[in-house]
Amino acid sequence: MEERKWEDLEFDCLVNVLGRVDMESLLLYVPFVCKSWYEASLNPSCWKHLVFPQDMHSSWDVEDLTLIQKFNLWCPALISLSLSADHFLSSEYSCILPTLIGKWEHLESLWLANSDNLVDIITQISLACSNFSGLNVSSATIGEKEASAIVTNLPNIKSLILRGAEIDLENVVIILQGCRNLVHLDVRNCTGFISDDERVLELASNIKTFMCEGSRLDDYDYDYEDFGDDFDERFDGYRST
Amino acid sequence: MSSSAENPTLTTEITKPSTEIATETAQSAKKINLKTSDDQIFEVEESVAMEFATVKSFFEDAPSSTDTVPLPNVPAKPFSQVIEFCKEQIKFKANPDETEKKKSNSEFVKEKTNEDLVEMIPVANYLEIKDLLDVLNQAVADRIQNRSVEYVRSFFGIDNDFTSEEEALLREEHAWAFEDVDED
Repeated sequence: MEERKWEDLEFDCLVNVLGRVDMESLLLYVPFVCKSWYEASLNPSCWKHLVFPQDMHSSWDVEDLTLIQKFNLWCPALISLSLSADHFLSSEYSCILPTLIGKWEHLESLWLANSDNLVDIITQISLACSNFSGLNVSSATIGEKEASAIVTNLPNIKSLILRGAEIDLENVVIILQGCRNLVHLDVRNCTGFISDDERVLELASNIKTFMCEGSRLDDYDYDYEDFGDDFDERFDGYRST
Repeated sequence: MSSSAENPTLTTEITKPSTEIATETAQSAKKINLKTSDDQIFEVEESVAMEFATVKSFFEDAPSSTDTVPLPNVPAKPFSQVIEFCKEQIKFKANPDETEKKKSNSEFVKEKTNEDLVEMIPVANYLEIKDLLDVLNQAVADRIQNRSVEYVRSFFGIDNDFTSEEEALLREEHAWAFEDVDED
């Protein structure tokens, strides 16, 4: 049987495979395999999902904002972006993000490390990304300004993950009343409202996956157990050093 | 059919599993002959052959055709595995169960060698079997993820066509992502 020539395989097919490997492989291995793979690795279709790993190489100088700008040029077809890694906690990122979002018209989901500049980011999303459906913000602070921005700019959002956020009852209510198409809402371990609040439960009754376990009014009476896995993960790094 | 007489060994080999499963329907189901690039003839049930968009459109263009359909880009070995996949898929068409389908798909790729997967992708692509292509592309991506350049080259049987100057230049271009990574 004639030998299969993968370097000659239809370009679309190769790009389809490469679009499914993670970012590190796309950067560190794929371009060096051969010339046609190098060409394929530059195709925007390979860069639809950008998930920066938690254990990023120290040499990826994320303090230097050119990294994310570089990706912005590379990824016009971006569908999902995860900036949840601790590296992106710096406020410089939240400042630069609104200026980049306009290029990502196909963006559907975004995961942020914190809620800095959230209002600007959401506003840009509503202007540029018509298919946007999912937002995940780690350690968010959701005040009236942020809640109203979510409702005004993303009224049709399907998935909202605000786990561990500081969010008062009235702002949970604003979101529940304003985003009627939510299929998935995760407000577990939040502070600012109690998890068995009747009004919240009633408003959330039509949401397919609604999670609010562990949410409480204030955070001074928490116990270690409530943090569960999250707590362990978050502090593992500190323990080992 | 005359082809069965011409290829007695192959026909028995291919029809055996299907007769075991459905002896009664086998008699009534229409069969289609498909000829691979290495001149083997596969007698395939019409319902299975219609999973191949390329074959389907062949019959749509020439509905009265009863001849053997040539598949010039399809070698026999990966083709028999593709048929195996499509037979399973048809069961789920009659009785949709996403969980079972996923399980069956992942079992299908799990028992395939790297070579099997790599050979099947161009076949699935040529025959335009979207579901299979998805499953195969994902399986290959899972297997090459986080592997070394050398591993990927041998996985696909690819020769390095970079000159050492070109490679050095490329590594320089990617230096921002590449520093500190151990060579393996």
